[in-house]
Amino acid sequence: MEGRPLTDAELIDAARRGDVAAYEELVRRYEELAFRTAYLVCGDADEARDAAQEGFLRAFDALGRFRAGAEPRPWLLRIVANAARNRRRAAGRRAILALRSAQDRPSDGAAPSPEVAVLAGEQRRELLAAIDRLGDEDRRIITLRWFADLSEREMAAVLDVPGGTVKSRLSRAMERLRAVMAGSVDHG
Amino acid sequence: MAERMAWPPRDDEALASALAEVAQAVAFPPTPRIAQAVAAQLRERPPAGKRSLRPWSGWRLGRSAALALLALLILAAAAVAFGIAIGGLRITFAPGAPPPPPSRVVQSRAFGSEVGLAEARQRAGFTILVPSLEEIGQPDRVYINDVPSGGAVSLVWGPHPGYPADVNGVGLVVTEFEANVDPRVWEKMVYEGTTVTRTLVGGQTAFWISGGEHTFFYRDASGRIVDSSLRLVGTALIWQENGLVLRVEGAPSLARATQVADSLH
Repeated sequence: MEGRPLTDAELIDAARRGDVAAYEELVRRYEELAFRTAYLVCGDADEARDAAQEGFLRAFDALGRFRAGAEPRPWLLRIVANAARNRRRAAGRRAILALRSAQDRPSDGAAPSPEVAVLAGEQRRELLAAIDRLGDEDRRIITLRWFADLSEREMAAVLDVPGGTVKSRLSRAMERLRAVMAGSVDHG
Repeated sequence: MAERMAWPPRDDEALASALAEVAQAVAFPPTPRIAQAVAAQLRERPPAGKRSLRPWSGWRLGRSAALALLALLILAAAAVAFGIAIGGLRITFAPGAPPPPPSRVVQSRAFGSEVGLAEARQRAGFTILVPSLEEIGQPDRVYINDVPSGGAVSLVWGPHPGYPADVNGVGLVVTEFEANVDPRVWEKMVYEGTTVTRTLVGGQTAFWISGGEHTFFYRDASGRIVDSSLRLVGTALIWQENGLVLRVEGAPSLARATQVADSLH
């Protein structure tokens, strides 16, 4: 088995025994997801970084409670989102999402091929602006689903609601997003 | 080339594919090096002792929360809202474990900026009291924070005989500020396993916090928590005297904390 990267379960097992390097590797696997999720929850990059850091430290202390064989993603996301919620500013700061210009796109294949790019740049901006005009709850669930790419179970963990609630909330949010877009076209 | 999508999307399916496409072009702020920072903080922690990987069962958590609640009820006479207020300091109870420790307490913004004792005496809006105990001598570091108004002064000692270093490398802290400040400014959060006992210092009601971990916050004028990184493990003796709120933190026993308190002049 030499050279094989350790599985999450193996890393968690080692971290439980106090192996910080193993935990560091586990955090590295999830830091981007955790940071982006925290960013969408609390709306501020600095707060999101602190929340993710605090969440991972808390998770380390709570490894004893982690159920062997369970998926670490929803578990970690729940802890990080909790920290992010606590840091959400009373002022209700919003996460600001921008669109990468074509030149900024990473060269690792993340950029869509021309065949997939069926939306014009203007339409993308319009869609993002419409998301920004949604209420907090709608915006959060849509960005968590589509931009952080969370599963329903993970969204439920992040939002701290039952799985069924996520489904209905998401569908209502989609409906309102369409209404906002239709409105923005009608009214110029 | 694929066909252009009907715009605006007419149904959820069309909207979903538009979202999926935009998702690929969305720019998040760059992800900071979180794994590195987390590992560094974990490595700076003291070797597994009290705060080891002890799994808290729901039962223990429940019992601890109940104990904290019991302590709260015992102190109900002095309780304000969900905590105890002593002058401008509030003690509140939180279920569960405290947040992870900061790397070094002296970096904490809660202490304010480091100054000499003479400068602190000049800047503070009150007469600073300093313990006169031979075994600890003069404070190793003196800090002043401009919050609350009148300032808060912290005298900090490294480890000394009888005052071992805590997780932050601090042996003893004495903090002083005027008692008439808004009690929402300073807050001490007490966690599971910690007890709060009522006692007397120089005839004044005092609270002795021991047996666990507690954190310390302060808030700015808008009520926002400015710094929650100051975590102290061990003990704290808090009382009010001559218009000041005084805290002695890190003394290994109530007797020793009282000794420090009695020597203040």
